[in-house]
Amino acid sequence: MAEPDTTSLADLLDRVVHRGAVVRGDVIITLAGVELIRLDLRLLLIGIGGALSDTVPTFEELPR
Amino acid sequence: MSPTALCAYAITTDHAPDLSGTPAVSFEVEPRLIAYLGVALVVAEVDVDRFAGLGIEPAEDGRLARLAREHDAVVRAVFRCAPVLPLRFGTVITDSDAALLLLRAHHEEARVWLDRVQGRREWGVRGRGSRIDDTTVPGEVDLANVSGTQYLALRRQQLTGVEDARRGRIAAIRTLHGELSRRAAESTSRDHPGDLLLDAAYLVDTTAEADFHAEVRRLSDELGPRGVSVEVTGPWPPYSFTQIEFAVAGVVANG
Repeated sequence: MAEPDTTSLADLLDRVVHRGAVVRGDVIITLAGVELIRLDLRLLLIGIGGALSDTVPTFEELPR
Repeated sequence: MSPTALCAYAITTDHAPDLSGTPAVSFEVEPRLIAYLGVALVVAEVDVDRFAGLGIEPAEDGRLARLAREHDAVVRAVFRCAPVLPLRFGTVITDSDAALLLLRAHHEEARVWLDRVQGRREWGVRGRGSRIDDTTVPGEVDLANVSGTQYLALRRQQLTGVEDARRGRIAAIRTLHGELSRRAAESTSRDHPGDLLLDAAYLVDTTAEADFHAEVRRLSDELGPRGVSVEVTGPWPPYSFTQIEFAVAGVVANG
């Protein structure tokens, strides 16, 4: 079984950040109506799009 | 001290092992289960600002990388012994009341999804093509000794060769995806830019894994001469097969 540490960061972020089940609603902690993490990740993924080549979702694909 | 909240990592069954008792697992966080009617949410107490201001560098040792690996490690710790529905990275909920609200609203749906991924693991498969070079298809010719008409005929032949090679590749990649999908319980493929010809994920029964990988090897050998290399990643928890949205209505008292 591949250990997490040997997994490429791009593959990992692709799955962990972009996939998986989403929880929505009042139970989620938000800042001015935007989920804490989405706020940063939207900016983040624009910044690293080039560095991580083709496995990073585009801005439009990101969850809001 | 910043206020604390619960980071939620995954939904699993309520008979998943208690993570605090797993000696091989060490995290900065202390994951635990909040159970409700057959399902459980894997959570850990975190500072609310833990996820704020993540840096814009994808560095291997950056904060995002560390947090993402931790998320994956917690999901995998559960995945080793029980079915999981991984939640998206950075799912931060207010408190255990919120966790119960979520489970109460979605435990039946979650159980159906857990049955669907039980005994299965995700494998990623990518096919990457090298550039098809039109000066090497179909072969080397000494251009000094050909007439203009011959040159044009040759050029046409070369371009046809490139087109044939391209079509052959696409057909071979379709065969690969088709054969692997047949050996998987579920499959998904995504649009792929540039030299990526296939970017797919397969949810495979553990009992079918040997057959699945034998087929990957067999078809990779056929794709090699066409200039296509095949990469496999995994096994993964079923990240690509839990595209679910759990909406939770109701206001939670934020204490």
